[in-house]
Amino acid sequence: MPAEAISNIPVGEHPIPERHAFHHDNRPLMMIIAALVLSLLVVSLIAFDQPNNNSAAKAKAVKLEALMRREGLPLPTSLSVFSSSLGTNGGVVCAASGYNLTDAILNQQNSAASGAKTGSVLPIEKAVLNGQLAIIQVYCPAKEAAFIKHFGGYKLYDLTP
Amino acid sequence: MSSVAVPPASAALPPVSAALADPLPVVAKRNYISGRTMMFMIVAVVCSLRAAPTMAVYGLGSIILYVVPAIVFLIPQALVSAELASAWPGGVYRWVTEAFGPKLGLLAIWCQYAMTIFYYPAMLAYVASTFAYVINPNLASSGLFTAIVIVTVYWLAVVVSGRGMKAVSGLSSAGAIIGTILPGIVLVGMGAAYLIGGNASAAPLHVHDLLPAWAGIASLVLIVNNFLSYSGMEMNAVHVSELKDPKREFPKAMIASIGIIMLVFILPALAVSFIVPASDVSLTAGVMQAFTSFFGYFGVSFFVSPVAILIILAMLGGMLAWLAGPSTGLLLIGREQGFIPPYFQKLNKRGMQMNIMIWQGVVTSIIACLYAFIPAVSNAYWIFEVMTTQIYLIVYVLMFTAAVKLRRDQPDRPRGYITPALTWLCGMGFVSTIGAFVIGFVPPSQFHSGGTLVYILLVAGGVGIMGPGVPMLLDRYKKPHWKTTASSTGTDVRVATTITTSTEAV
Repeated sequence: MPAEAISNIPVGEHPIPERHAFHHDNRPLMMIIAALVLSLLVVSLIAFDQPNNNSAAKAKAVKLEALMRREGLPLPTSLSVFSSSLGTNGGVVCAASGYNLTDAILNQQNSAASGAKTGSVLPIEKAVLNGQLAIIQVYCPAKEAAFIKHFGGYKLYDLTP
Repeated sequence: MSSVAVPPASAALPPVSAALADPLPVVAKRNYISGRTMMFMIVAVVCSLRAAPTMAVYGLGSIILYVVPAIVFLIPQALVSAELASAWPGGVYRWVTEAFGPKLGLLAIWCQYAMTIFYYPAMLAYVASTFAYVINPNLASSGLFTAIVIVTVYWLAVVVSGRGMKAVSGLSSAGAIIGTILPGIVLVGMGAAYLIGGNASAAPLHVHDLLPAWAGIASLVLIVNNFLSYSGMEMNAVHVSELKDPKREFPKAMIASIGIIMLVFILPALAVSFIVPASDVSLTAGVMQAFTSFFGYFGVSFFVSPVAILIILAMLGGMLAWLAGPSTGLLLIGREQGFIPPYFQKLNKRGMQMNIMIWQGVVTSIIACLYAFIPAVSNAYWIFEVMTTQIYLIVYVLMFTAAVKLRRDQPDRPRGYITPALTWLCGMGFVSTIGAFVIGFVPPSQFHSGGTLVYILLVAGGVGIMGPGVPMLLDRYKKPHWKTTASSTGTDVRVATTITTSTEAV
């Protein structure tokens, strides 16, 4: 490799000349991947179980709002934020609580959630954890004990505005 | 020198009519990556929308939480990499080798590579859980499902990477566009429409809310975590030789990507904070829960699953770039200095280091199975990520110091881009990196197995073994005849001619 410049490196002097040997046609690969992505999108649209935003969901959202208000937790400006995401069964919050592997993934999220490729462990926000506890208490109280057992020892921080 | 396809001697002569119809020799068409593709590759490596719900919790404060780390780490990292890449091809291993010699060059590229060992299983486990929430939330707790997703997706990524850098760059940049930028625009547009419609924001929007609450070390951890979000800007510099005009295109791509990355991190987080309060951001299902709330408010809950799939695609695009990057650096220094056996230097017909990626796949598959099936491993897994973060920070310490030394020692080296106030920027980046390194030794809430000293010893031990430990072993057992290309640094250029044609399909 000449020391002068790297602009317009000739084929034979590229650090890996083999990479520039021939033009590769990747169209078949791209078409397969595009088909796979489209299939995944269709499957996800069909399979995704949207929470029921019915009167029962709204009644539970009212209950949750009252509990959060009592606990001094931040509230949405509209109850539909709760009812449309939590439905009648707590949605993904209840589906995700209390399992060993999801707890481990939670740890990864705590360490990597802000987009970091690797982990500096994030402080756990009081409002977030208590909000999740409130949701569990209203929508899936059977999971409350496991949730408290897991997070009971965690130090919480209050950095939210 | 352009390459001309020469027919093998044994090939039959073409008929005269064919020769007249095509009188010119076939010139091999080079597979350049465009500057724009490089820019999106950088975006793919660095940012993702998955951060938006977590940072939405801090409302307007998230602006400061992203801007400060950008000033002290993102900008120094990006500009310094831009200058170095515009003068020396090969990425961080080459820069550090030029400045401090091949041993530290090996340490630099190994540290970059080592970070990915524990990154892939954790990232793919996250992909598996997000996908599970879309199709069947019960699968999120299934070790078998998680293991299958990790192993399958990883090996598919290896197959795709084997198709060459053009495929990797195309897919990773496409992932950034359709999985990060487009959904980000949708989120920001809906958030803006919400405010313009006269609705009150769930997060307070007063000027004083720009400053996040101060909680001592926790605030520092939060800021440090955010500047780790920006790590990886330098990684794609290893592919600088794939650009047609690297001296001009790479710095441009790097500088443009700074703006895109900051917008992608900040604006979607703000948009989510307008509608979803902190109490509705789940720890265990952050992205899915927050986006369900967000889109649910607008009555378009069906958007959740495609957006989740697109975010997954963006993560996989970033993974492809990570797969091809550090392993290329390891290949280059292995070829030049003989640090790795010829077996790992072999390339497939598209010039990709398949054996390195395949053996990394074996290791990743084993780790993935341990992670998915053994609760003790999965619960303690985060600590390996902390260790590899610490190891990765060594790369930046070496890079910032190498940049200053190279500017001093080789001022006349042609550079396509000259970083203004390089010494100051490197000083700021260096201090930030050391600060992050120190913060990495603060035990988090998850650590229940002993006191601070135990944690420090554990992390330091892991960093020592997985960081400098492996390169020391590689250096000790390297063989002169493992060198297959001349050293680009001019040091020790004995080349084994017996294995110069190590290209073979794998």
